[in-house]
Amino acid sequence: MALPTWTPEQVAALAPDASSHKAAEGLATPRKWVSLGQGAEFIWGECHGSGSKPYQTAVSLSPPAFHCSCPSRKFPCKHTLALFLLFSRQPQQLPAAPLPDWVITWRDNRAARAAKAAAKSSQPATNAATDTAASTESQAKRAEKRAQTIANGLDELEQWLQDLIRSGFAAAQSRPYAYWQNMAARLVDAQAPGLARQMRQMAGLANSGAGWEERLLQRLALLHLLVQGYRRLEALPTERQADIRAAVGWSIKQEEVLAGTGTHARWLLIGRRIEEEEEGLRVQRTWLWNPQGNQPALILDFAYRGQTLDISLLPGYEMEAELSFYPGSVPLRAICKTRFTPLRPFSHLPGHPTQATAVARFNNMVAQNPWLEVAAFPLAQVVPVLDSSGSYLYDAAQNRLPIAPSFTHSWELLALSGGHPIDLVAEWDGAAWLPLSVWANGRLAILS
Amino acid sequence: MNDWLQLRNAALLGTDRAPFTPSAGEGPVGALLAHLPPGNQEAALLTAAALYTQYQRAGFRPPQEATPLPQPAPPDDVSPISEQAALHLAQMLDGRFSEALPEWLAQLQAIGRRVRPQWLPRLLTQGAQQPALRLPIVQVIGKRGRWLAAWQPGWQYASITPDPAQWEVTTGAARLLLLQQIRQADPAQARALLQSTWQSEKAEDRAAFLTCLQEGVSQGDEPFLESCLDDRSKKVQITAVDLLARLPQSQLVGRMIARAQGLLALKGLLRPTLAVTLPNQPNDAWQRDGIQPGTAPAPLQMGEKSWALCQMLACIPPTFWSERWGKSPDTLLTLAARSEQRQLLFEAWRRATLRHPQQEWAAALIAQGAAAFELVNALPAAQREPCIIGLVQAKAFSDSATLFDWLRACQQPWSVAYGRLVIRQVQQHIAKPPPLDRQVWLALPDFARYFPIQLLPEAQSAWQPHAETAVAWQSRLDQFMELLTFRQEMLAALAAA
Repeated sequence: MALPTWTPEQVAALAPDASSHKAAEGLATPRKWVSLGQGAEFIWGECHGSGSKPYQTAVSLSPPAFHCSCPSRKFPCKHTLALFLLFSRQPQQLPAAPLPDWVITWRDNRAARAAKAAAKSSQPATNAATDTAASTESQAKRAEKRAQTIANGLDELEQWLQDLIRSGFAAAQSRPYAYWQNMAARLVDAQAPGLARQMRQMAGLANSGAGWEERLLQRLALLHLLVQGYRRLEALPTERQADIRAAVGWSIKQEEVLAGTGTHARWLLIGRRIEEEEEGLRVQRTWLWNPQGNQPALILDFAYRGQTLDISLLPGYEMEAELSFYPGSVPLRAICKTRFTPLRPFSHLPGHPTQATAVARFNNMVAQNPWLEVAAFPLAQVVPVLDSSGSYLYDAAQNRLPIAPSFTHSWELLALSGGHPIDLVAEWDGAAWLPLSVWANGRLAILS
Repeated sequence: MNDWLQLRNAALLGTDRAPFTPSAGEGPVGALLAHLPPGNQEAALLTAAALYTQYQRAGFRPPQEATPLPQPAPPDDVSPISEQAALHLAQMLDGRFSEALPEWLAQLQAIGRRVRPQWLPRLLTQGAQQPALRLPIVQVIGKRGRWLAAWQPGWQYASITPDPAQWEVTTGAARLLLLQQIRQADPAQARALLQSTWQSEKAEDRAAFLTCLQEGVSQGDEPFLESCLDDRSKKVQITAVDLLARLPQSQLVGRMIARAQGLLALKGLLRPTLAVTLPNQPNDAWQRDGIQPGTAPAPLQMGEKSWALCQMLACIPPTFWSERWGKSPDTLLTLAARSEQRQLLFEAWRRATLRHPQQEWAAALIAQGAAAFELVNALPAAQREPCIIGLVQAKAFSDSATLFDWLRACQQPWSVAYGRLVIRQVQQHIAKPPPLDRQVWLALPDFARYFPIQLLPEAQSAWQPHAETAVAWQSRLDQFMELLTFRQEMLAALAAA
């Protein structure tokens, strides 16, 4: 079966920064390569470098992995990106050929490392038994210390919230950014990064246009609710505890998540969004959809400067997989535990017939977990419309909902629909849609 | 019972200024309000707010909107380009190889396809920023593109079909493009449309529309243009004169010939000289025909009478003089060079050749140093290359700067013969020892736009051996090769579609 075909935009999204992308574009032409080839789900080439020997570059396509003999510390380096770009634009420039020796060596080394890692992860069952007592005790101590640090931080937050209500937030509009930023920094110190992120987001709310007072009050109220909930953590049901911990930013080890039960189903990859957060941290949200259970799932991936995001889950493709969900009242964030089939393109986007049903679904989720911020839904046959006050989505039931002002591709969306109903995938945050992908010409196109 | 707005106002003012008292009520929310913690006002306010927030979020319903949707785009009958071709457009819109965009658009129109919808916004924006691209863009956006263009003020230029019935209702930049498109298809109809609304057009619009008629100007336009000579706007009058002067059979040219008869003569058989008689003051009839009174505009330096004669001669096809006296343009220009009125004659014949392009006159003027690229580009396409090739072979250029400027002046796709000439010239220059000839270095990227693609291997084999000795050449040559290769690929992708 055919490999997922990579578009140049998808390859460009792999670049760790803009200068790598630019350098890669300059190398993405056959004249810069001494040799090129493809075969057995690998592409490879030897690139002219500044040294005497050309650099050996290879990419494994499924699952994606990169290799280059250049001394660059960036990953993927410009040679790998260039090779991949060239392949995405002109695959015919890479003739089919048997794998060269150095590609075979790389492939075997990788397989060996993967086998070792797999063996290691099944071993803890035997090793853990010996020092279980000691490790759990130290773990418990650490957890307790962390809980106390967070509690102290939340006390401070509560005080800050009440001060704000006491003085009234009419003055909030004129507060400098540092007002919010300082509290966010203290929350980071208190090991509550989730709360710190929410605090930073609130900084912009005071100047976000009409209705800002209500939006700010809603956010502050939910923060207050979170603090109160944290204080009563032990008394709450397990799922509620998980919701609160997740909102505070208490991270859970992947092993713990994978140990829980998963959902084995046919999952469609419907959308992806990459955001640049503070200090060079990039966050990738990959949205999945289970048509059977009418259920969304979210896989989060993080990369600091110089690291690469996991780009193996391409929107527009589906797989049969078991997803392990993070604990909580509403299962949403997940990890892919096992993939049973390779990716294959899906031919139909099963969208909600009206916006109302998608919104009702979200309301249901939020009613159970008040701190849930956003979920993605496929929508069928909506019409994007632009007018002087912004852009909107209309559906057959004459419902009209706004598209978020932060969406930058309204014109592309309008051009693709031409005023006709189209199927698309968008994130809903309770107030506005953020379109992620559009179904056009029989496939899913990412709006990037 | 506290309600949401009350909570909001209390939070805005602050409990310091306006104390908040929790008060319960009926209904599920009201009942819960009874459980607010007493004592701490701020905590109570926040908790009540949290209650309402959850209530609102969990019960949110999308509003109904009964306004009718705008008219959707009509279906396109022209099929879109392939994904592969769309990738080339993406690169050019990103700024890579954007010099090849005009050629790509022209080729797309030639094969009768259209651009894919998701690229329309960026392409339309390019047209908004670069007016020269507008006409080619409008021809390849299809009905979807025209529909989309109506939504954005900057894209209005692209929002109409070239339908004569639209002439009266369209406004702004789109109207000019409409006239241009109709003039290309049916010149007589374009003129008739313009005439039909002429009286009601604004003065500055009239001048712009009249300039459109330069495309395909013919004798049929003469009656209308004659009437424009009486127009109140000077710009319109000047444009009309310029257009009429391009028609050798027009009455304006006839009048100019009649006036000039006695003023310019070839005297003497053994040693001929050109005798110039300066005319009297221009009268009203002359002014109507576009002969402006006063001294010549800078940088020309001519008195009033000389300038009047110059303008007059500039309307007469230069071939009139060479045929009348049976002398070649070279001979006449040499004679003119010797005469006192050298500047007058050169300038007059230069302008005349611009209006009545003719290869021999153009070559003669260039060889005498009286004119430059504008003459070559005024010639019909088929004559441009022979003109430049003739000049190069006659070694008319003293230094490489001029030579390469001239080679670049041919701004149309080159023939194979021309391409080979350029290959040889570049080869000669890179073969010279360093320091490098900067002119070739500067000219190479421009060459790549028009260079015939099939000669790429020849160019490579001719230049590569020399380039290897000079590293600085390599990057320039690489750029040249890259643009050529890109052009090759983009044209192949369009052909395969």
